[in-house]
This record gives sequence, C-alpha cells and structure tokens, in this order.
Amino acid sequence: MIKILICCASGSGTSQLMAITAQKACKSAGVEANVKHCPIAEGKSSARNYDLVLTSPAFIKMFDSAKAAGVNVYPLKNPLSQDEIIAALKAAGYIS
Amino acid sequence: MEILKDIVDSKHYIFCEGFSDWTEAIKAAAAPLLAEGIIENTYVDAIIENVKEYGPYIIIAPEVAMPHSTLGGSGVHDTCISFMKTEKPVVFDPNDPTKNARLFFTLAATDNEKHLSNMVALAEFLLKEGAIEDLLKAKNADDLMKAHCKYSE
Repeated sequence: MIKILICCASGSGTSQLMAITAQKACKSAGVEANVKHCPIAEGKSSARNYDLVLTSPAFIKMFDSAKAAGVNVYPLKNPLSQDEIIAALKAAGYIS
Repeated sequence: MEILKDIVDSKHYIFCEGFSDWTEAIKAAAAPLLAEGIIENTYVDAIIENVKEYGPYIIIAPEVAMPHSTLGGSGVHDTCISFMKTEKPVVFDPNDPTKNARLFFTLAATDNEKHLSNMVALAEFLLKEGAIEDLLKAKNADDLMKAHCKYSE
C-alpha cells in the first residue's frame, strides 16, 4: 500500500480531480494506494508522511524539503491524465 | 452522469464570443452563479487572486478551465457548477498556448459530499473520448443536452 498525497492551491478543485484520476490510474496499474488530497499550505508540512507527492508544476518547489527527506515528488501538468500518473508511478519505482 | 443536464436545467450556462482579458472571462463564467446569489463577488475575486499568485492551475486539460477557490471559502452559499463556452480561446499565459481555454466549469462548493460527486461526474464526462471536442462545437443549451444524452449511455 503506497501513500499518495496530492496538493493544489485550494485543496478542493484541481487536487480533487487529480485524486480521482490517480485512483483510476492506480487501479488500472494494479497498485494499491491510499490517495489523499489537500491544500498546499497543509501538504507542505505533512508531505514527509507520504511515499509519493503529486502537484501542479507551479507548486513543485514547495516540496523541496520533502524531496530532500526522500519523498518522491512529481508534477502533474494535466489533472485528467492517467498516463502522467502512471509515468510518476514508474519513475518512483512502484511499477515497472 | 447528470452534470450537463443539471447545468441546463438550472440555466447555469453562458455562451460568449471571447475575452481579451482572462479576468473578464472568469467573471463572465461565474456570472450565472453570481446572479442567483450562489456566490458573491468576493469568491470571484479570490479565484482571480489565486490565479495571479499561482499561475493558471485552474486549466485542467487543454481548452478546459475549472475556476474555483477554497471549499467552504467566503462568499459561497451552495454547491454547484456553471458552464461557459467562448468562441475564441481565452489566453492565460501568452507564452503557453496549452493554457488557452474555451470551456469553463466554475465550481462553487459548501457541501463536501455533493462537491465530490460533482467532480467525479465532471471527470468521468471529460475523460470520455470526444466529449471535449463536442462541447467545443456547442452553440447553445440544446447542444449541451445532446452531448449529455450522447455520453450518458
């Protein structure tokens, strides 16, 4: 079970949509995942408790410290693209 | 999938020629909700400020914008979606044409459960092959209902 955190500015629109896409993508890739989404302000401090953080390219820098602590952090350009989620899962080594 | 039907039934839609300024486009897209008091100007201003601060993160796919701000934020009194289509693309970033949009789904949310089901329905709809293309060709509410019928099977 991997823990995924998805963040956007508001925590209710874009990240919600990304979370829906991520759940679909994980299901189709056979990856068991617990997907949570929240606003950037909250995610910045809780990111270290997750395996994988996904966010809009605009916010990626906010997770530099989580990245330094070993969390996999990847940007998502298109919140509706399952392919981007699959690519992030591959890059993080959860699927081959 | 009732998103488009709900939008048509509640008359939360608007068709426009275009806007030279994206802030005007966001105001127009929110107008159907504003007119009914579902949202207030403060909410529209918050959306615009967020985009100014963070960039056009509300573009969820090429041609598709989803203007929104925080769930339960100030100036929001109900959970709903309004739709706007423009003939000419609205430019959010002059250096990045992938951030142009002609379809706007403005979100207002007070009820988390209803908001979530709205988002799931919107995502399901937009992920259907051809759905975005059909909306880009829509000229009126009848076309929205046709798209609703076509993709709700």
